[in-house]
Amino acid sequence: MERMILHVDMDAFFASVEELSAPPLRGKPVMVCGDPNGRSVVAAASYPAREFGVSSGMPVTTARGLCPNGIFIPGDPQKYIFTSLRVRKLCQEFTPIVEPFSIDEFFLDITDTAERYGGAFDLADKLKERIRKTTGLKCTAGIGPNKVLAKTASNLNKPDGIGVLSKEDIAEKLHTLPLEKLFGIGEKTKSKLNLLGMETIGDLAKTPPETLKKIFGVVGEMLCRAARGEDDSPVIDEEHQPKAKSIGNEYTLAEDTGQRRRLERALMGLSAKVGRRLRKAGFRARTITVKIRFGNFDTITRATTREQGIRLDHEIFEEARKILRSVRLKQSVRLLGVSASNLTTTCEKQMELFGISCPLKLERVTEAVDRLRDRFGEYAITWGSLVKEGII
Amino acid sequence: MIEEIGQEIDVIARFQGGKVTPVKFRWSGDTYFVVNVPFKWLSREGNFPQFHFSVLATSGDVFEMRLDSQKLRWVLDKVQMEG
Repeated sequence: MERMILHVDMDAFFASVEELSAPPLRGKPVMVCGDPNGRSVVAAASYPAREFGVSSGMPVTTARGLCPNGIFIPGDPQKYIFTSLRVRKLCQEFTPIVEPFSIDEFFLDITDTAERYGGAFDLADKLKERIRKTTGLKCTAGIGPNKVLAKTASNLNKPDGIGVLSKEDIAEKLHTLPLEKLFGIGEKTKSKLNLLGMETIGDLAKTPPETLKKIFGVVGEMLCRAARGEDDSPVIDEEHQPKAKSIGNEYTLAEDTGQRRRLERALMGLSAKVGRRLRKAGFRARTITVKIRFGNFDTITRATTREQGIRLDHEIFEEARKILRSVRLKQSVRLLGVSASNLTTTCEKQMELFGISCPLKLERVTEAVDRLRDRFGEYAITWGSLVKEGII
Repeated sequence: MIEEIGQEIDVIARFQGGKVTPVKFRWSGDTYFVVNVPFKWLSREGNFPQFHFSVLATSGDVFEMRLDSQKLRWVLDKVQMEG
């Protein structure tokens, strides 16, 4: 039996939730961003805003130039997470196999349930209606025999549409499309492929996988298979999702800076966030990676690997700081990131921690702090220096 | 225009059938009547749920307020003034 996959993509999700929350915004150019007066980027733009050329990922300053009368709203993650969970529950009414792909996208394996609703198209139609009636939100649905074709089908039918891409459609409908319409191809990959003389998904499909592998590594092979409409990756519901391979956080500084003291404070805030997430998930990390993006958007990453896994905020911070100190800052820094990988669940005893001969005490303090946060919220207790810097 | 407020406010609310609905509230010396509640959501601060309401007032403005279940207080988070 051929698989049947449904991709559900919420239309202009964050902006639509804000419109629901404040009905006077409806029909206006709404853009959801970080700090509207800072230098954040547009996370979502309503369709009226898109008519001005605004798109997701665009700096707010650029968006303001294109759409001077636009309404910029600071994003409210709690509102979006709550709504996303509601949509996911509605999807689960139609099949138990629902994979959240992002906060506003879901893959559903409807192979075994489509017939119950009169086929895949009718199921998609009923689900769209259920989501609209229950939440007030519109979405686009894509149907295909795998994730790649289902997602491409929804991409081609936004907003508020239903698209179908079958294997028979590959040559006629998929291969004639420009590269960026293919799931997995962003601006950078597209530019590289353009340089190799490829313009359409069909061009990519014709290229030998070995050639793409040489240029893009494993991703190259995946791109080639996707262009041919081949994808056997399963839809995995949340319960069966593989455990995280890394945990990381990034922070865009309020303004570019080369002051190491300020950078180290930001690094401490990030280390604390990563540490908290590591401990919540029951992991220790052997590798700590620091990402540094300079004012001109040049980005470098540096990593260090230890023999023993670590999980305390200060341990992570010490490793991250060592990395930062080893980097010559040729320019002011725009963004910092800390990530923990090489994750292990093994509990190793720390012999000594940056001169503190009683690591057990520090473990206990951290556990106590974690318990306080569990009970009273993430901001109930934190480092004084981070509050001063406005990082947490 | 959206203004972040973060002030505790007095609210008269209806608790009925396991649901809570703000009816009127006082802020900055003015009393506002709630026309409708277009959106509700829930978040958590540690163990304690925060019940959020986006309310449309007779003034035409949209207010985002929340019932903090830990401290049993109402907080006005944001105001979105019309125009």
